[in-house]
Amino acid sequence: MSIVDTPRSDGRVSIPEETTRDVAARRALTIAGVVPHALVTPSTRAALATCVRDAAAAGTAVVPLGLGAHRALGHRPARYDLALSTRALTRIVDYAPADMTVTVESGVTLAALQGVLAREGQWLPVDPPLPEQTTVGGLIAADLAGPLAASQGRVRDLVIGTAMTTADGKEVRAGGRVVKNVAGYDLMKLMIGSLGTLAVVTEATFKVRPRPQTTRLLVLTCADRTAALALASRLAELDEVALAITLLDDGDTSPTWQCLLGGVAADVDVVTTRIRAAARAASATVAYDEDGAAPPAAARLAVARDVSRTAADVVVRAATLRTRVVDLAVAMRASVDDGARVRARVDPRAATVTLALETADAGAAIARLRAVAAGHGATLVVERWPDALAATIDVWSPLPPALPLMRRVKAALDPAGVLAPGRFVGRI
Amino acid sequence: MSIRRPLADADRDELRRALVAIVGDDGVLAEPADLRVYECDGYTLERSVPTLVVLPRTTDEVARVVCLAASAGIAFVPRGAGTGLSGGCLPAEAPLMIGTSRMRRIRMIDLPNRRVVAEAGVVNAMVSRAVRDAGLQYVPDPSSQNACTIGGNVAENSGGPHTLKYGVTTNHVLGVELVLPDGEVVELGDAIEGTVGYDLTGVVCGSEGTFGIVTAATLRLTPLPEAVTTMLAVFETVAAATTTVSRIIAAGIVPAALEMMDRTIVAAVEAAYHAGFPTDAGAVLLIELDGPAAGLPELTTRVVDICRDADARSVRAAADDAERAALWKSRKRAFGAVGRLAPSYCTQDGVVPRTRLPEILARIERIGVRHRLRIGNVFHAGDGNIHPIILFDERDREETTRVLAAGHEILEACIALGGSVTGEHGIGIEKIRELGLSFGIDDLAVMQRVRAAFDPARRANPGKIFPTGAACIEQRTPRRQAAM
Repeated sequence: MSIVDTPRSDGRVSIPEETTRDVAARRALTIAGVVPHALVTPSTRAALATCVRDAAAAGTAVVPLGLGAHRALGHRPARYDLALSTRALTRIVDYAPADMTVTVESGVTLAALQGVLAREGQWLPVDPPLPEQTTVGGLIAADLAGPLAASQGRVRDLVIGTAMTTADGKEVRAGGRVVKNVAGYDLMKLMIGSLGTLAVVTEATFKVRPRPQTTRLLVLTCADRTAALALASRLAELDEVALAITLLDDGDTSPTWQCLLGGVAADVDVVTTRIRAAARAASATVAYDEDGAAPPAAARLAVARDVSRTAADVVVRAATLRTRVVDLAVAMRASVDDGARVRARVDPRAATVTLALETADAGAAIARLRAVAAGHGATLVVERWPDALAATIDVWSPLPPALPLMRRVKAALDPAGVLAPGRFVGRI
Repeated sequence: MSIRRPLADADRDELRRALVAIVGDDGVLAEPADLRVYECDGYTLERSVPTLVVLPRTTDEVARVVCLAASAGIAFVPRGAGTGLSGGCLPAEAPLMIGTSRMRRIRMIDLPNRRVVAEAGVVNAMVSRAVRDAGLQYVPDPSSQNACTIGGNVAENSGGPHTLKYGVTTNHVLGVELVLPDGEVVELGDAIEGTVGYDLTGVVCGSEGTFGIVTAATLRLTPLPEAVTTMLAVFETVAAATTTVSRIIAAGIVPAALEMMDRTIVAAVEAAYHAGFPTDAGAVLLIELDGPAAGLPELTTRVVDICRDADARSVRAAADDAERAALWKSRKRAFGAVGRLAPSYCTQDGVVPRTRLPEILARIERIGVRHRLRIGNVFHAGDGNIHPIILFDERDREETTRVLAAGHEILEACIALGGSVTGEHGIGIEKIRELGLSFGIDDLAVMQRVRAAFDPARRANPGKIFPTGAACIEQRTPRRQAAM
């Protein structure tokens, strides 16, 4: 493991005033074994802009972060001089419940935002792991929709405006605060999933939705993996009331389908009946049926029990077409050697398979999984991997055919390559 | 620097021969009578006849045409069906127009994975028609859906009346095939959720043809709702109708559509179509709920109660599909009916947060009074997307000047209330000046930098969206016709 623990003294690195070189604070933001030389936490957007401008002018590499909860995603930064955290930008800028829009600074945590929205009977229908440690900026930069995405849309469907600081230290805007708007380019889309490589998001406006009037959680226990996967296509056909449908298969206990329903009570009843019928036909047991009492947030832990947060060496997520997801899940599982401990999550509507492995040979396991994914026309993201692989790993595969165009977009917005260099697809 | 003005005769003939070699004799239009068809789109106040129109049949032909234009340094403008409302395909600064009207294939229908791949020239409504028997639909349904094309929809990020619940075009486009201005064909996005890399599909949607030419798109299909209820609620005042809109949203109900017409428009619609609208009412709301069948009666009851609490004179639900279709026909053809009220009319497209609807309507009324103009309103109330229609006589130059001033003031008012200068019609050539109301110089500079990543020489649809020295276009007369 290569720990870079001391600030460089070559004079090229410009560290702004509001910084800390506190070792513990910096180590907390280690990425793939690399510790930043300094951490800066601007308390205003103006200070953030100045910080980015000065850093860029000095050629200092800046990695934008919120609380760092999802920083394992992406390549090891080519340079990691300065960790720039938006965590102090925590203003709720504008919330108009009757407009179903909310504008917040990017350091607001998802949990805090959901708390504000809940008081008005609304929610942002995303459900990534660790909402208390996930900032709005992180939600956007890492594109973290979670298991609700198949029914509620992804982050790209919810963001209607952003403010962002570009590498030249200017805060610019795109979109707005209204739900329908085609003035100017949709630069919000570029920010989503870009891991801070194009600009630092400082503010975002979201479309929000009313919380479902009724929610209900059903857990189906299946005899074995084959029986569980046989239910996938039936459950995938459920209508908009089925908020999240997830298969959890941790290898130790029986595989379970977790179905979070929400909507008008009569509709929830109908879908509950359908799920129970499907379960009977597949000899699955309804292990748990919690009616109404729990709002979505409480049901989340059960539904989204996130395999990527277990003590795994490797976490991969593959995405494919709906019709291929069961075959993909079976093949990925089969590619893992017998000695490895495996947890799996399958979303039959988003057509994603997530595997978490504890394995002695991570490199070989990843290579096999990559080959399986390619064989099924799937994309694969290696969400977690041992630091030893940092120099050689391809986090994303296959690389998109438009990668040269993506490099041009990066060069257009960050010509000096100072924002999260090397973190993104193709080590952009 | 690219060639943006009409070509010299010799160059024109040479280009024509080269284009014919690519697409055949019947794929190149060069006669004045043929070219005149392409002098404008649905925005008719500016006209400019292209030097040549080329109509490729395949992506490969588009790529070769664009390559040819690139090597000659000639700017081009893409065009679908020409139903755009902001002059997006006006060939003012590009001699060569590339039309997609011969690219009408649906390349693939994949029902189990709920997607289609449609070429740019496929008419919007044809997509839903092709999959309806399987219980699926392509949701975005602009009012011009029987004419407008998928390529144009992607370029403009088109809306329509059902965006409140379902979103706009960008929310339903999974990927695009794009011919870059240097002739390279790139595939952006994918049919799966795990697309790798920057979301270039997302930024191409709504780029108004300035990134190249979209030749095909992978579109998401959505199951048809199990049940639909369409209601007509009649109110004494506009204020009561807008209050109802806010209360429905506040009650946690998200209708599929929430459309409003004021007295001026209702009178025109009734005179034209005799659909039984009360001509003395202040405003009517068209409310559509859809979703699973079991819960719909309850939602319907709640919406009816909200309307009654807001002193609706009457609320009635369409009894069957025929009645529902009649209500929508009246709404979608409202613009046609307006022609009965005045010799000319001009439609604006602006957005405010939906809670500011009463305020923007009051401001519009004041603007109308101040400029001595009659203004009607028919709009997507649920989205806060207004479409004020200014009635006038374009033969009256002095009145026409007042119409232009009023239109600009309405958009300024939208911005003052926290909104946008366009919800679904685009900037095109019409609103270049107004774009500056929404964005500052730095914002626009970043957008231009992104554009340069796709089109460094600015040969794809130059003179649109952004203010440039070469594109200083002044509005002289407001447009006569408009639709949504």
